Amino acid sequence: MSELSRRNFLKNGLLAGTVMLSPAALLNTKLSAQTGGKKEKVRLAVVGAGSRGQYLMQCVLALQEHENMELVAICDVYEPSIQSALLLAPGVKVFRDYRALLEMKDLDGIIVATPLHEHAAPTIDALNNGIHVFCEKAMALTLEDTYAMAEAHLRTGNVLQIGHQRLFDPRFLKGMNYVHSGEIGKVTQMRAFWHRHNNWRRPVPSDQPELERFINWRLYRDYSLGLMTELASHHIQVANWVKKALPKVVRGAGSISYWKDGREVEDNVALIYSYEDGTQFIYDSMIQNRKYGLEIQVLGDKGTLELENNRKFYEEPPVPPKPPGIVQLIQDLESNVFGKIPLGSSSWEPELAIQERGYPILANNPRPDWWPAWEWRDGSLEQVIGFADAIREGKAIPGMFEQCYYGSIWTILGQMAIDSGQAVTMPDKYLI
Amino acid sequence: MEVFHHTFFAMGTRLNVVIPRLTNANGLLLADEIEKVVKSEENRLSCFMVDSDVSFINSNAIIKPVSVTDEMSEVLNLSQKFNTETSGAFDPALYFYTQATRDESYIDEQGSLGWKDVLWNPLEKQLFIKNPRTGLDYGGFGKGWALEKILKLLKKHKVDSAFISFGESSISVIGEHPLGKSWPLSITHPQSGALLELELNGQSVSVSGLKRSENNDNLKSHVIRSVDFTSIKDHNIVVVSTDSPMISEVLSTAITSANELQIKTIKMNFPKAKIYQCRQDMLEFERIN
Repeated sequence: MSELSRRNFLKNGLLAGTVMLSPAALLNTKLSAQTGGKKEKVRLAVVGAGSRGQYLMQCVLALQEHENMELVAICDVYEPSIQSALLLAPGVKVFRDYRALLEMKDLDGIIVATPLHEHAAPTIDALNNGIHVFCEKAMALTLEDTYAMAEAHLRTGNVLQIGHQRLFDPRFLKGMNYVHSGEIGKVTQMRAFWHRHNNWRRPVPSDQPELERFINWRLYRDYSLGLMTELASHHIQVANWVKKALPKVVRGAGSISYWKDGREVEDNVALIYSYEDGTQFIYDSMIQNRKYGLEIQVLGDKGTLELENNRKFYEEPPVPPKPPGIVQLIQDLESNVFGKIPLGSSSWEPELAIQERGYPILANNPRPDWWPAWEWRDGSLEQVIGFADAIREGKAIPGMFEQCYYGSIWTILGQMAIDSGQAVTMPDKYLI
Repeated sequence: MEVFHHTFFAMGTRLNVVIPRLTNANGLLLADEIEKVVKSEENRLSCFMVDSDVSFINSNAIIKPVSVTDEMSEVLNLSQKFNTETSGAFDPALYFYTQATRDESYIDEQGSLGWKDVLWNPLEKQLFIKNPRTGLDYGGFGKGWALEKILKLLKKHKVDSAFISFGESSISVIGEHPLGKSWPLSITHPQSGALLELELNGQSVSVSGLKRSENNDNLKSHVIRSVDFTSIKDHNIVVVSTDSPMISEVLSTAITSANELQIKTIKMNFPKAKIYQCRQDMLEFERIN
């Protein structure tokens, strides 16, 4: 397929909603996560061993035995991060320059958890060196870097997986089945929010004030787009997943309304992403009130999903299950048995509350025996398993990269809408 | 034996109808009529539905007297009657506490609210609520009222044997069990395990007190005590059996929240009711009348 026809195919496919990620593919990954088994060893390194990098190190270490993966090296330029990372994984090789790390023999993949503005360089260099990459979201600080990363992935064929763990979260996978099977009807509005109450700062050593921008990179525009890239990108990706489509336009506003401490990124944003079919995705985020926490609500004409909260509501409740006492009565009568009709105990369970509070999207989310207790099955471990499996197969889960790529693109476009005060659309040159 | 059974959501819970020896085809027609009757009553009495008669009253009767329909008038007449006969233990005007806020911190300053602040004129069929913190909530009445309508409908269709359970807390039977003289019911206290066995033949039973929360084993009550407007926190169960599902529900709700004097009045005014209770520390239910 020529480059031009490929772009047209993807463009038309995206608009028609046919090439976006299939939850079924991810369910297979989830199944793989639960069954385990003999797998070829995958050797991984972490580039950027700060807090998120160390969390992902923990994921790899937790999976190393069951999923046959090995953490072989870490790379960082900040000595305290290196030392605390070594407490987690004593004995791994330490690099201060990722380019030296990429020269390692038998390195299968790297996990990039650097500050946002440094995602692109190690990712592109690794892909060009034949090394697969798991890169934290959002993909990059700029549209150009994001596109360059995609180009390297598509040109080399090496895996580039982005850390949108909701793509592997069993609750979100089940929720998407409800959406795409039509169970909640026609979705015309989505609402999401992410509210915290803290200044979003990390402590800077008092004797090294020059490290402020280095440590608090999330607060400065040279390195981050703040609430948009660090938080909103998650829900923008989910919204596109729900719609199996891309927005047509985004409008937004933002301000530094509370934490006026020299930061350059907004502490208060509100955006509307509009889709071709008239659907509106309304997003807001703030860090001066945490009452409403985080949520993404999917509003259909037959029902509502609250994906973060694992709740499902119906406009018209479906036929409820019969309580145990009634089931027993019916069975007895059908068998001509004269038996007692039990009432109470567990048969009281549903009652009023269940209708007011909805139903669980995923009723049970059990951990396998070997699953670490600190991880509550939100997709974080599954995405690492998915990355290792993709390395073994030499190819990514179909459609997933596009999902993440456009999530990042529309995150940056959202920031552009806030900055300009204008309605922003996606230039065709960023179609892949 | 052929058994028709039907379950649907209504009034915030599920209604189960079991009719022995009824074909599915006939049963479905009947079920459709039952659903219409119940939904109609829910549309009248629910304080959760914005267009219900009760919601209209709660929004408007605090401003000026409102006129009500004949059916709503019947409900309000019964409210007055039951409030009097239970010495105030049955109070269908605690919406502010049961639903609107669930906040007990206002109790001291709002010590006099509830049905005593509802001015009901049965001749004019007009109602005025003189305290803005008072509103109607028929949570302890609606299921029994709806069951009365269902029984009437089934009897009109010559159904001579049926078991109807509304949220498993309001149960009515028609006639005999097809394999015996009565319907044998066993009620278990979820915490103490105490068991109450009843034989029903034409009677209705209402259970008040506990219900389990959805996701864990915490036991909680949703009944508000009319004397001091606090929620009932004791893990007690009250079971009342009478010939009327409405009276059973009214009495079980009232007794759950009643003081000793009110219980004495109830026992005197409803001598035919069979009233049982079981506290969490009791090994068996006791009949209190």
